[in-house]
Amino acid sequence: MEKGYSQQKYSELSSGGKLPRIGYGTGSAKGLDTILEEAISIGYRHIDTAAIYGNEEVIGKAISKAMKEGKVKREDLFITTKVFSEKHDVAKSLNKSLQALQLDYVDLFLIHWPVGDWDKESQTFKQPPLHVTWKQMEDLVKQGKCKAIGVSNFNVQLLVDLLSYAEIKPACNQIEVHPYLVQEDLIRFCKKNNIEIVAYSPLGSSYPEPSGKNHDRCC
Amino acid sequence: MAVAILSLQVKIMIDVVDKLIISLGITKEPVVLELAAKHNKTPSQIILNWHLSRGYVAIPRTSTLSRLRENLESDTFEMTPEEIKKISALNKNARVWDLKDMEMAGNVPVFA
Repeated sequence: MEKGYSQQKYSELSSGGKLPRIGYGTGSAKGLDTILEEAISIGYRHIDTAAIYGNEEVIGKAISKAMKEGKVKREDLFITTKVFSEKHDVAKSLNKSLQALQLDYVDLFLIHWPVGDWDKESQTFKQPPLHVTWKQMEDLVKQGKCKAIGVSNFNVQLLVDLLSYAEIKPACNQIEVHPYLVQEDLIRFCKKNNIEIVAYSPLGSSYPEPSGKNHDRCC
Repeated sequence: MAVAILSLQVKIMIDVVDKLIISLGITKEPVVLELAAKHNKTPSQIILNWHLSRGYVAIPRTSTLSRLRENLESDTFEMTPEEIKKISALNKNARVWDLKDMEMAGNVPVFA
């Protein structure tokens, strides 16, 4: 049975927010300003970005223009951004993102990868323990800088640990999913625990990050 | 002059990088093509519909205007549970972002 796409479905987050089922993954897409304008015009409301994509300023300009022109209201948009590895300095990263995006808050703020920067010398990752980072993420919600918090690229084991101490539970786990990587167990676990799945590279393809595939960080 | 040449080189490099789309080729799978023909949809719409039918969110990226609408309209039809299962059967635990060529790969929990 055909359903009009104006009846676009949403996922209800444990935080209370509504996440449109089809979002626009910005990654390093070319000509983003033009394409975002068109995306908003035809009905996209969920826009996914990250500090590492280096496109938050372009997105900020595009959404601010769309809002000024009355095409969309802030409360109808769902904007996600992520703190990149580095040292998981989440407050500094979110403040920078908000400034670039010209926003007072994002709808969802994610830890991009469970690990920080790779230190070649010691052959370890540099980051504080996740419980320390998560506490700082929770503080950002309390400060009103993000409506919801979540994670990306977390496996079941990491989520079990996080759920054991989280005061604010992760609203989402953004992971790679497509027909060659169906992620049955991880999806089942997340659904059971009210953690929404957001699938990146859903078609099994991606653009390389601007710095190329061999940089020294997770991407 | 030197600056102009340098910026041109950078621009060419960016153009080349943008064309290097990593693709696992799922849109060329016979089962996906067969379902696309059956439902009169594109292979990408079939795959996105598979995600939505499984009950979660997908964030496709594209820099092609026509694909924007195509992706957004991927929930305007329904596939049967059998058709969804056929697509899921393509699983081979292959990643786009496998980080295989990075020295830390074995230490990232999600890949362990």
